[in-house]
This record gives sequence, C-alpha cells and structure tokens, in this order.
Amino acid sequence: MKIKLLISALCLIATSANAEITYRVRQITTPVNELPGGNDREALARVHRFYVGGMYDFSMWQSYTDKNDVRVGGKNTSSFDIIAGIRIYDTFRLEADYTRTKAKFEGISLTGNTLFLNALVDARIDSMYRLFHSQHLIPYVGAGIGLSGNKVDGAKIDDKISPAAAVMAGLGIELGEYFAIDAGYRYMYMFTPKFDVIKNFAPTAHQFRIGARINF
Amino acid sequence: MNKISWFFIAMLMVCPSYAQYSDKSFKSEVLRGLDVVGTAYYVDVEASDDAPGELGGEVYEKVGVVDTSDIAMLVPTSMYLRAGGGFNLGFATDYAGFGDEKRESTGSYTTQIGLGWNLSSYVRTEIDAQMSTFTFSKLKNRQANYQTLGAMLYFDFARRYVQTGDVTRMRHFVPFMGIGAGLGHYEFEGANGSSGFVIAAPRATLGFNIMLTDLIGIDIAYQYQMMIGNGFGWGVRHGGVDNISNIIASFRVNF
Repeated sequence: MKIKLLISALCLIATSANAEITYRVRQITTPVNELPGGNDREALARVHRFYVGGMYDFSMWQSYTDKNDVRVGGKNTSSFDIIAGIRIYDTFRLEADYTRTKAKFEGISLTGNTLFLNALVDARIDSMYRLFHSQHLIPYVGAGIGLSGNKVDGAKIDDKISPAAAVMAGLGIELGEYFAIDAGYRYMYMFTPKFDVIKNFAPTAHQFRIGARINF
Repeated sequence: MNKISWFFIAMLMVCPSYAQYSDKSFKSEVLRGLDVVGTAYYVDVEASDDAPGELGGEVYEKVGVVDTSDIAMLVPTSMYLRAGGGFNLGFATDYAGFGDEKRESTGSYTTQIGLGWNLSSYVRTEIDAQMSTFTFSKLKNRQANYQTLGAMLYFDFARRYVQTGDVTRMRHFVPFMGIGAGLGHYEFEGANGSSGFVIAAPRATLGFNIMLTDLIGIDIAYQYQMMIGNGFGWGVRHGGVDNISNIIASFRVNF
C-alpha cells in the first residue's frame, strides 16, 4: 500500500511542476505602426528635422497717399527668398527667411535685405493615419516678424533698418520624402523707414510665391 | 483495488501535464515571432497566399478579404487652417465721408488667413488675420486699408460629422454662424484721413461650408463688422461706429 501511495504522490509532483511553466503568448498591447520616426507628433520631424528652400516672389506693391496728399503708385516687382527651417513638430515649423526685398513705386525704389523669423502650421494629418491615408498636399499658414536693412533711390530715409511683418498661406506639394514644391501667398508689411518725400509711408505688398524645399 | 488500477490512475494524472505548453513551444513561438503568434491567436484567419503574377490574379479568387472600395477611413481632426479672400459689399457698407460728401466703396477687397480648432462636432474657434483695401467711387487717388487680428467662435448648424455605431459620416454641406471681434490698424490715406487703432466688434459671420473631401472644404460667408473708434472717411468726426460688410470665400483644411 505504501508503494501505491508513493507512486500517486510522484505523479502529482509531475503534474504541478508542468502547470507552473505554461508558456503561452498573449497580446497585451496593440502593436503600433512601425514608422521610421515613431508614431507621435514628431514622427516626421524626428526623421527630417531640418529643411532648406528657395522661393521666387512676385510682389504687388500697394499705392499710398500721405497726409499732404503726396501719392506714390505701387509697381510690381520680382525677388527671391532663401529659407532654412527646423521642424519642431510634424505640424509646426520655424524658419529663417532671407528675402531680397525689391519695392518699386513711382519715383522711389527700395532695396532691402530682410530677415524674417516665420512660424508656420502645416495641415498634416496625425501620424497614426499616415499608413492608410497618403497626403501629398500639405497646406500651411504662418506669420513672421523681421528686420529689413534698406537702401532707397529717389528719396532719403531716416531709418535704414526697419521692422517688418508678414502673414502667409500656401500649399506644399510633397514629392516623396525629401522634396516639396511650395506655392503660396504672403502679405508683407514694412514699418515706415521714414521717407523724406512722403510721410508715414509703410510699404505693403501682396506677394505670390513659388519655390521648393528640401528636407534632410 | 489491484495494482493495475493504480497504474491507470497514475497515467491519467500524468497526461494533463503533457497537455500544457513546453519550453519547446515557447522557443518555437519566439522564433516565429511573438507578435505574429499573438495576432494569429486573435485574428485566426486561414487565408491562403495569392498565386503570384497576373495569371494567378485571373485564375484565383481572393477569399476572406474585405472589399474596401466603398469604405473610407475617417481621420479625426482637431484643428484646421483657412485661407481665402473676398469682396466688400458696397451697398451694405457705410459710405465714406469726404468732407460733406459721401463716397461708396467700390472694388474693395479683403484677404484672410486663419487658424482654427475644432472644439466639438459643431463648435469651432479661430484666430485670423485680415488685410483689406478700400477704394471709393469718384476718389481715384485715395484709398483706405486696414489690417486686423481677430478671434471668432463658430457654431455649425449641423454636426460636421455624425457617428452611427462604428460608421462615421462626414456632412458635405454645413451652414454656420460666428461671432467674435478684431482689432488692428486702419488708415484712410491722404489729408484729414481718419486713421489709427480700430476695434471691430462685434464681428459676425453667416455662411456655409461645402466639404470636397473628408479634410478639405470651401467656406462661403457673409461677414459683418462694426468698426469702432475712427470714423470712416476724410474730414469726418473721429469716433462713432461704422458698418462694413464683406463676402469671403476660403479654403478650410482640417488636420
């Protein structure tokens, strides 16, 4: 009888031992999309933090009449921008924008080296949905402030450096991961450099821009 | 109970222990990929691989695959941006004073750039910049302009999207109204122009939105502004209120 009990006890030991090592894989979290930069609001920014670009600007300078009824008629000009930017989040970027300002009015022309600091918001969908929804058109809006170092022909100015401000909107057409075409509009406002021939004249322009950006 | 009975009882007690997973299974699952095994445990779809090539596509029919041609995945959005322009409605705008005379706004225009937040399925808020240029009848050499920053609260008259169970449907036509205020700089160029700081309050909007896709739409809206503080024209009293009406079309892009 003792032998029978001993055999039974030995069997129980084997059973309980195996029961303690029940390997079974269970899914306890939902796997995230394996995007190169992760799956948060910096998914793209982490991979392509910086970008550079260039823009052609077609500027429509606005006419102005001062308090003494002295009037300058605005003309259209062409100029260019050079841009270097940093992507803080996928939907937010900051950029330094050098603009070669060429403003022409009847009897006055102003050439400026203008440096803007622009803050822009991109309408880019959340990274969670990018595997299922490809987005090549990325509209944006933004605003910038800056300084302009000016030279003027046809008049004299008191302030060779004047503040400037801008608001802008546009459309980024992303052709792959590294390259984007940019077409946009910018309203540029230059605080008055204090012309001697026309008081309180603050040059403003509607600018239509097209260019390209390269991400790296 | 004889010896053979004890033997069978012992065998039965040992058998369940072999039904458990062994370390061999564990190693196999690791080699196969824990995510694959884990997913298969829940999905458990026995779908055979498609035959390769064009011929395979013609000969074999896919089974167990959902037809996605009429299914669109909703991308939830929390913000939007808006950009556009419009014209001033001269008949619904106060005439500018020019001394003792009045001049009607003609050919005046506005551009607008905004950034908004979708607070709920029918409430939005937005900050925007507006740049307007006014020209007036019989005043070729004089114009006015203003630049304002504003904040608005919009109420959509119908929910922009409707959730029914697992299906979310975007509405393609949504009328809306908005109320808010703006402030900025306002200048009537030339001698005796009423220029300076201006407050646009209230600023009210009534319009409708047409969604072209789930993310992109067009807004067409009437905008009323009561401009406070400067008068409206040349040689006029600096003060009081003046009414300005615009019709503005803009693209709204959600993200």
